[in-house]
Amino acid sequence: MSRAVAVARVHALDVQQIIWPWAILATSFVVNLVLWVALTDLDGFEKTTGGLLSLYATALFVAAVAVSRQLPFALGLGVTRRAFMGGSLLYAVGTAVGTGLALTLLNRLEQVTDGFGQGGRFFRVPWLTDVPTYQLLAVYAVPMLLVLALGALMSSLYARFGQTGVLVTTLVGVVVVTAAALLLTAADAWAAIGRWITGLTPQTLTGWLLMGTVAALAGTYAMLRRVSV
Amino acid sequence: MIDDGSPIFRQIAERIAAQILDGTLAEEAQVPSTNDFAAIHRINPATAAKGVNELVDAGVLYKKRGIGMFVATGARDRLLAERRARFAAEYVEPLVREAARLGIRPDELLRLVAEQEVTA
Amino acid sequence: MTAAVQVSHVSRRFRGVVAVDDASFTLEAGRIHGLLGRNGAGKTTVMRLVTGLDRPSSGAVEVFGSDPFENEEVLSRTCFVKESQSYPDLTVDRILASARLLQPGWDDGFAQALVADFDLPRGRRVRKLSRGMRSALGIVIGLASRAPLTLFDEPYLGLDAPSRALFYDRLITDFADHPRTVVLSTHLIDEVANLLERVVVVDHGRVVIDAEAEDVRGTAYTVVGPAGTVAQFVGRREVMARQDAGTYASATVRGRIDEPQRRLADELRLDLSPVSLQQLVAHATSGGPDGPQRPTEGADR
Repeated sequence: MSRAVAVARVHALDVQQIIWPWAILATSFVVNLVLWVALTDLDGFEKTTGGLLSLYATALFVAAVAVSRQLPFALGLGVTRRAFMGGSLLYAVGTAVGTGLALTLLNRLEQVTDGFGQGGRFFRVPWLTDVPTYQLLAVYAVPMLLVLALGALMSSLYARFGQTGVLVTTLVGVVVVTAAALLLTAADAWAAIGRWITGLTPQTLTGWLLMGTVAALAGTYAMLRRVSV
Repeated sequence: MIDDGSPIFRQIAERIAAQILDGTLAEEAQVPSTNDFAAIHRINPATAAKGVNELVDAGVLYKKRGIGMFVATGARDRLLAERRARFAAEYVEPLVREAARLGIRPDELLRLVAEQEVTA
Repeated sequence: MTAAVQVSHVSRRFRGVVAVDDASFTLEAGRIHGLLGRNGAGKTTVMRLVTGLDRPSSGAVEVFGSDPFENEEVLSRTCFVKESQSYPDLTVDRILASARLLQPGWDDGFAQALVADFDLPRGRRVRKLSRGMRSALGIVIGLASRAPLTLFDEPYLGLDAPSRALFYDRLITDFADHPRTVVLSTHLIDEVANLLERVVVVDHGRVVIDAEAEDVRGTAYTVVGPAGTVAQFVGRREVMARQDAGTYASATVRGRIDEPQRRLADELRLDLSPVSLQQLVAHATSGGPDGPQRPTEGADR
């Protein structure tokens, strides 16, 4: 147990993992704010943005890099793959919860200040974040955990199978998705899919994302077990 | 560490013995610890220990518990006796052989030996 | 004497390449062992098998009595300094702080002293360090970890001679004060020859020598002189290598130099000199016309 905690603490020492995503987000936010002020008189200009996505996208990349660099280092220092997985997961959960808290706070701040005095929308995502505050934490945190898991999965795939392997996996993924789309068309099932999507609530979507996260984590561990670094 | 092909631990023992014989190490003087030897000569401590132990077994060094290794009383005499016994085979024989090779007669050899001044 | 590492009939195959071929040896605890051999002989693979980074295709590896793979109890007492270690993108200070978190036996005072000794810039990121400094960092980690089983795989890439000497000094001194099992893999054999207690020599994945360093050193000598006299001196002894230059010859003979031989050589005006550990290992792994000799085990004088 304490080995895993040690791994989490080692991740924590690597502050770049936190700094990069938030620095990018902050930059995106500032740029947006400036634009809101500058273009406030433009007709039809909607002060809205998908800038929040940048946080998650950067986090995915950062997680992939972190795992690829920390894993060989930790293994050389006598850490088991199990402990590495556990410690990294602990760190990821901490990061996700921290992200959730920060974004929830910023969301409410945006609400209270009426879009930071500009009527802008950055932290609020229509439909998705229109939930009670105690659920908002999960809505923000789960996708973060998901991208961290995906980053780790990509990294472990590469570690296990190398470049060729990643390419092969991507190709297989493309083939599978294409085949699925074709099958759905053949079965005339798109309408049913559409109904299912519209039937989703932020809560159920978050639930699905969580399941996806678990799958990604399981895949990561399966890869790590067989990796010889 | 000069490598003459003999085991390192023996070279260590020889070095200490030489220091005792020429008076650098007096009787009852403290000898550096095996770890010190290892560090100075950059050899494995176990090897240094082996060399030291060889001298302990020969009664040249002894161990004072908790303090260190010391030169035993009479160590010099003991070493001298041992060296004397080897002297004939190690030095005299080659000398005589070489003299014979050069055609130096025994009485001439003795004269050369007597003439030789030894600065101790 | 307890065994820290026990390798029994271990083989490791990679897509048709046999990196380790039926290797068996034991490493006793509390000693400095040399894992010697040429580049590509299989030394690194062996070390990876011992540290649980890789699993054998066949055979068994035991460290502190159990299989090291995914074994927290064993691995937390292990530290492996790899030849080209990859580090997270951190400063030297943070790397050491990370190592401190992951190595239970870590001595930070010792680490800081070593950092000063090797003149490592604390605040500089590892990727900005020179090759030699990266190696020094690896050495600092390996030594300060005080791990009961510490392995160094060619740890001095890019290190200049004075820094290597510093490494040997610190290793010997710290090993004397804090005995542990050290495995040093290298092809710079003569530099470390005096540090080693036991040597395991690997050639093309096979163990060709597994003996006390002392028993390997001095097990051959070179005789130089007029060809005829050399032949007379050598007699029927096993000649490992021979060189002829005009009327002179040099023969490397297996065996130890003893007093009678020394006197005889003196008499015959032949030059006798011992063969260094490096030369002996090179000969054992030459793969030349004489081929690697059959495996030599233990102290047969």
